[in-house]
Amino acid sequence: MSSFLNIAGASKRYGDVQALNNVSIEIRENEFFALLGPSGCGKTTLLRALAGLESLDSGVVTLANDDLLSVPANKRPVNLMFQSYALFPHLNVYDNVAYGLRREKLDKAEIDQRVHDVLKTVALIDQKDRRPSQLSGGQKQRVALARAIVKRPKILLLDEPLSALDKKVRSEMQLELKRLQHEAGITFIIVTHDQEEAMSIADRIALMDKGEVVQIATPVEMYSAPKTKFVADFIGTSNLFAGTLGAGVITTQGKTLPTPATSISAGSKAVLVLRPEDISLGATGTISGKLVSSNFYGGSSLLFVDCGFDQLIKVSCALNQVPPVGSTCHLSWNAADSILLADS
Amino acid sequence: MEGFKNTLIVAIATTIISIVLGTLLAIGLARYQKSSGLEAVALTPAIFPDLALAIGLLALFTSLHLTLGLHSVIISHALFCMAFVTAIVRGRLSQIDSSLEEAAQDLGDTPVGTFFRITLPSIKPAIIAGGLLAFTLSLDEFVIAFFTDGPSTPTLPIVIYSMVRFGVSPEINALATVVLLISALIVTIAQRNVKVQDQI
Repeated sequence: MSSFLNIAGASKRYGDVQALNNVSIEIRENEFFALLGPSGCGKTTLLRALAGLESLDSGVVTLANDDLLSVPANKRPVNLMFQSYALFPHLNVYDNVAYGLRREKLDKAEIDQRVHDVLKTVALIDQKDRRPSQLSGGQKQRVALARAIVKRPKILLLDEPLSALDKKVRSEMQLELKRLQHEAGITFIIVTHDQEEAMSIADRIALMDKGEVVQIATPVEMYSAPKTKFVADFIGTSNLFAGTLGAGVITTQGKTLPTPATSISAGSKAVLVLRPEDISLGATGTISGKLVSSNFYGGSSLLFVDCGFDQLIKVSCALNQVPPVGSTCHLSWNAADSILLADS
Repeated sequence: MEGFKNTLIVAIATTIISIVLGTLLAIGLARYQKSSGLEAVALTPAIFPDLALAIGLLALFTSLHLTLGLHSVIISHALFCMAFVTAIVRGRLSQIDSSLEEAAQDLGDTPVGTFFRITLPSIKPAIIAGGLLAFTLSLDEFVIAFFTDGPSTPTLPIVIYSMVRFGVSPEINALATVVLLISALIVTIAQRNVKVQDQI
């Protein structure tokens, strides 16, 4: 599929801070794309630049081969859903949603039709005469969403849309967003710092750090084949062992651990990534240690085992097999399941 | 009666001028200033001693060869009332979410349209409160009016003052009561208005 939105070499500097450093991303039509990263990584700056609320120092952005940056914010076929929702407090739900359509000077009947349709889609038709202050967090979020999609933008930008909601509402809204994206056939670009959210919702993810794109991949690829230590650490839960590579082993903190087949030459610095679900408990193991604590996560528990490393080893374990805290655990894993990355 | 009419003219004109200029100043301060120094200067007339302001203004008007009359009182009152409007509107502006204006632009509104449809309605209660405050401040202001007014157009406080010099008559009590009631009424309206708007 050819690229729809093309960002090439986008850079932006605020005083001493390089918010965006030569960022290039290609986003496909009808894709649900996530910009993921820790706070201050430049993801929001990029989103605002796409909306036209921020200028770039350099770089080119094209939408369906047309230059986007020369178009002022109020004429871009792009709408942003704000983190704070930015609902107009003096207007009711209906007028908030109709605001953008009225600016397009559409005739009244069409505005009315489109506003009603979108309010039905987000199940807010009964609240259309309410003011934003009379709505719950989830309802406000849906008004903000309705207000943005009613304009039928080519791209919908969402800035941390779910961060203000509690966990249960959040997962409902994630499903809702995915359904809407599918129905509306609009390209969605979501900014989030929550890797679980990005993993569950997006078709592809761009992971950013310090103004640069670290990796662009599908959630599965990013989890199973992280490019760098940063990606491995940020995506999912993992045990990281930094050390020096030997023949089929890595020496880390005075201990040796087996490594998977690798093209990294022996003697260089490397990081071994071990996912908690790849480790199993048994009678014997590669490493052993005392169970320090176990955290219950619904279907499974995450065990923290002290094996003499600086960090506790995280192991995921089925609920009915959690050993008592303080007992000795023997940990083993298939070396082929672990991931070896070069360390700078 | 003449004095009462003069006072109303001054108070209404002062209110209008200080609302417009004070709001513009507040928006300018909120959006475009880099340092807080300018803000302090803008609010100075509100805390400056009336007497010093009055003498300064009189000196300015004489050096400009401006004839004294209601217009000079209006200019003087607008100067210090504007500072109050600015302070109130500035406070409101700092409370409203700046992404509201960005959202309006994002939805396709022009900068001018955004100002009238989003910014102005958001700060309307503050503008009304500031305007009513300006009106009451101007209504019973004596010192500055005394210095900057011409002899043929006395405002009500000046009329009352000249009457008091010949002893307190029932008329003065009546006038003072009227002024007090008007001021109290307006302050009450201003307070209610701000409260109602805040609930929305």
